[in-house]
Amino acid sequence: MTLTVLSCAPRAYEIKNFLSEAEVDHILNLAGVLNLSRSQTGDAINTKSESETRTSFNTWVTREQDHGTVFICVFTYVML
Amino acid sequence: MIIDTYRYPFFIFLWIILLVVDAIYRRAADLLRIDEALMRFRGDGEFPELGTESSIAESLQLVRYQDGQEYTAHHDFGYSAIDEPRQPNRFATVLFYLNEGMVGGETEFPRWVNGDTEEGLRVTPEKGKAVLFYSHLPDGNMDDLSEHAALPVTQVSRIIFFLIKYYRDRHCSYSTFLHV
Repeated sequence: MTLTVLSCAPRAYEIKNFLSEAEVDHILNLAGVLNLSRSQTGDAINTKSESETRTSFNTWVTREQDHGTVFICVFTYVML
Repeated sequence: MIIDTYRYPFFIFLWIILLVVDAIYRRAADLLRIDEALMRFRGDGEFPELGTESSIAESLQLVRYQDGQEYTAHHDFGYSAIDEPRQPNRFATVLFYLNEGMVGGETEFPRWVNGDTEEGLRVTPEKGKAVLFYSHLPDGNMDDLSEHAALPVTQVSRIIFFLIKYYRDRHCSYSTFLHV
């Protein structure tokens, strides 16, 4: 990985080709099957809410899948 | 090499995605020069000095901007409730661009300090490119200059990216993190 300095104040860097073509394609396939919902803003104190400053759609992808998700996937696989 | 994941059952598809996501976390840990185990949920007593069993990284966030959608300038740091003993705070952010060629959609750092221009620093999305920035200064103060925006996407459908945010808290040494 080659780290290129974009700025020292703030400290910002870029790394070209951090993800491979195949990895990006897998993630885009995932994006195609996930339901994205309107992005929210907020912090630890204020409750999260939709706002006009952030109009994108998003979802979350966890590193460790919970047991429920894995069970549903295994169940679906067995039924197929 | 492009693999058409739709040819496989969903279970296989999910399994491949989990491997890809895990690889991203490991590579990001290498980038920040921290232990990738810090980005997992941990068992009892595994990292007692952190005082938490949660991961110091958030889940990956998959974000899509289209039709003029944007995220106006904001900071990633925030303020925990005063009665929160650990005071966790977003420390660094890594963005991954998943596509390119759109009009607009740059990531802008409007408060960029430099000797050449009064314009903000604009980072153009490129497929597979990552951007790392810190919301805190090495001395532990929040970095006001880290304010950033996702500029509106005006043409060519959409920009999608992944992002991870790393936390620090009062129990976590700054020397754990990379300072360049």
